[in-house]
Amino acid sequence: MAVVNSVRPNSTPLLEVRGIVKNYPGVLALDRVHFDVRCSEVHCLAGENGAGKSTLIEIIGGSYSKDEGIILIDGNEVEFSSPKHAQEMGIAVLHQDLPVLPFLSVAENIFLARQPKTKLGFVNYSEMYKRARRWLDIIQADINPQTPLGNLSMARQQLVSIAKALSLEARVIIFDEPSAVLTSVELERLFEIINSLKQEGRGITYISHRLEEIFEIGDRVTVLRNGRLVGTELIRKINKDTLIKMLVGREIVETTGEVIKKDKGKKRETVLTVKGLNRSGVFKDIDFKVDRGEILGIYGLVGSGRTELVRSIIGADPLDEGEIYLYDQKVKISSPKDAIKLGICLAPEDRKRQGLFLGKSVQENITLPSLKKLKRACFLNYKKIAGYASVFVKKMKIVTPGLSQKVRFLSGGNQQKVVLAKWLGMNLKVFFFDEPTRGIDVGAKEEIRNLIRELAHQGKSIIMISSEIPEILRLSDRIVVMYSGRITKELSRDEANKEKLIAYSMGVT
Amino acid sequence: MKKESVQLLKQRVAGLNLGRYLALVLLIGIASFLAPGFLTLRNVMNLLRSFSFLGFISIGMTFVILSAGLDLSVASLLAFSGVIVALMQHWGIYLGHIDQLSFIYPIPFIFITVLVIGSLMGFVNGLIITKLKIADFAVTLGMMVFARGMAYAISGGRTIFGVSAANQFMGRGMIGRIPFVAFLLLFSIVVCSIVLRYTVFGKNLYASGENPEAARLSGINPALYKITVYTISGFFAALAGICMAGRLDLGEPRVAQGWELDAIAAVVIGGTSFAGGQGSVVKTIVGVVIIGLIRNILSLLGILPAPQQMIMGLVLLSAVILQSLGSRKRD
Repeated sequence: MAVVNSVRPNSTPLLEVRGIVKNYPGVLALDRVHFDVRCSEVHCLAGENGAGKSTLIEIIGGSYSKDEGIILIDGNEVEFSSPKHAQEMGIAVLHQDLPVLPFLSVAENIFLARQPKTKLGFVNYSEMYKRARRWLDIIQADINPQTPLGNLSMARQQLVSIAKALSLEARVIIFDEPSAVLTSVELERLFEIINSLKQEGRGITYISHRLEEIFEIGDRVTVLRNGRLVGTELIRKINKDTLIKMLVGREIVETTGEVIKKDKGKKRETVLTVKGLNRSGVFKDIDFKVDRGEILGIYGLVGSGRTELVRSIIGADPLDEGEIYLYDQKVKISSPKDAIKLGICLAPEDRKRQGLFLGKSVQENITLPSLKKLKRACFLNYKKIAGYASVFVKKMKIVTPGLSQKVRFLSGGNQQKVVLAKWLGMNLKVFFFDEPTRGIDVGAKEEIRNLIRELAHQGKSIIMISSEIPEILRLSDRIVVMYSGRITKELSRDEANKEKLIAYSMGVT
Repeated sequence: MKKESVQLLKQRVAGLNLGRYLALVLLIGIASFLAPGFLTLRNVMNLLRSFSFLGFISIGMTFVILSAGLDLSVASLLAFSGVIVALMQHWGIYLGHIDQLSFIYPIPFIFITVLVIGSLMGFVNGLIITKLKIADFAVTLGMMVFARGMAYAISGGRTIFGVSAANQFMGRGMIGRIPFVAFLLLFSIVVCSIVLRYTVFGKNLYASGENPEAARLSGINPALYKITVYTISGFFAALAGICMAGRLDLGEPRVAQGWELDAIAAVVIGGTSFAGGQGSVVKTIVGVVIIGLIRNILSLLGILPAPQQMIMGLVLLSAVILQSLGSRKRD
């Protein structure tokens, strides 16, 4: 099915790879994959987690070596010896987790290892700032080149990376899931920039899990599955269903519009109430409540204080002022431990850094908070532990060769299921989910959404942060919108729609 | 599914790190070849005893390194404990009775006091590290210098000769033909292994060592674990100090110079990861034995201490390099 419909059949691609094979012990990560980027096009790369997208771009970016196949630039064969070499050949990869030096200034990050020098060989700061300013102006980024990079939001850090790619005179720019850390508005801004880069004749590769984005920005799309090329298609010639079929190899109907009606008439018991929460410089005057069996969505741009808010509520970060009530009882939560004792947990935003022990087994990750229940006298009962873990592996449909598999080797979706699984057996009442479906494949996303619904159905109270508007609209009973540390609006399910969420999250009142 | 379970089995075998056991067997082979008397019961028991002192502080160090910390103060705490245990049996030293034993109170209480003091100093390490958020390295470096200084200060820099029979038994005593310290070490290994594998404390310690933030969000207080491991490390340093004083029959502020580095080396050669959250006490003891054997073999070969040190350095470097290569392959 590997039919290549090129945008301009006669032009030589800026970058082309042919028959790339990459082997890891036990896994064939890439199996004879072809891919090319022409000038003035956005070529999307799609595939479930573990499909081989990252491996492919690491090879194109010179970070990994390939086992077989060739790389052509302007039709000439090249062999990348290092990321720097690939950079010199005009290829820039903008990684998902941007590798930055947070204490250095924006300009120093842009000109890392190639700082302009004075005649005496010292760093010429004024020249460096001037040049950085010029590149930032090209993409109309209003960023002071002298600020430490770590002070900027993720979205603005991404703009800096783009400026850096331009300064390197990159002709092929690869975006690795940029939307994972961006909110809708920031994403639209990014698309404008990508379009202007395209007009200038650069070739863009755009990797994303989100289908809407692929259809909005892409000219062509290449789909990988299990390391194999499924096909390359012109975007205007296919529709969403075709693409999903290519992606998963089985049919999944993405039920974006479908909404499940709740029995609205019944008065439900309020479980969690927060009043006047305050943390100086982060969020202010936060009030909300969640009922039994309710899903409360929190929507806001990155930097609106949403993640910080939930972290403060569960005691992971400090809280300056405010009251928290559980069933009308005032409670004091000064650490996540307190929160868990009260029946409140958080599945954090960054699963690898905050949610998982990557070097530990599936079993150890799932059972960690419940170990106290799995003892005989003072000692752990490994039979019980294995039994407990396997119950939740089955329930969550975690795909793993065994309970002793290290979590590091699982795919993103399965890792996220492990994060959630560890809370399920603890009889908790309130669940905070921070971006529960970020960066995982379509199938796993659906399973996790179903789980969240099921929890609510069982009478749990759910507070869910999500940057994906369709997801939050579909799952939430109510949505609060945050803007710059405040709740600007509360919307019921019937009132909420995409336009309102965007407007309120940008501070429109 | 079958293929996957084979893969899992392979992973598990790789996880055992058979290399270091192979090295152990090899070393024993070399040693018995070089010195025919090596494998006699007597020599083995002697070796066992000489391993034990380093063994104790290496157990403590294992706990600390599991929590992603580093304790440089163990050797100084050992020396300090040796000095106070001797001093408490020579209370009269301040009155001028140099060579007479004079107990401040009955010997079991002396032991307990010294163990408590050692644990407390470890506790202080942990407290400063967690409450003031200062690097483990810096705090224990300070404690290392301080404890060694205290050992000199309270002894006036002198060696305190002679300890009681009970104390001598701790370091030299035999039960049957096996040294008492070896029993004590074995007991410690068993208890610590059980604690690490079969208690909630152990599991939570591994978790907070590997990823403190994830541990915190799972309801664990990593600071508490950090303080505890430093206390444990202090306890074992004090225990080693008491036994050492018994073995030498004296309290000496200069003992165990540089042993903190040997203990760290033993942990690393044993295969406990510096990043925290991975390793075991048994592994560390294998490391202790490997270090001890290499020293023993080099001495049998008649190599002088200075080149011995050099060779130990090379061994440590190659162990670290091999480990890094091994883990890279597995990931």
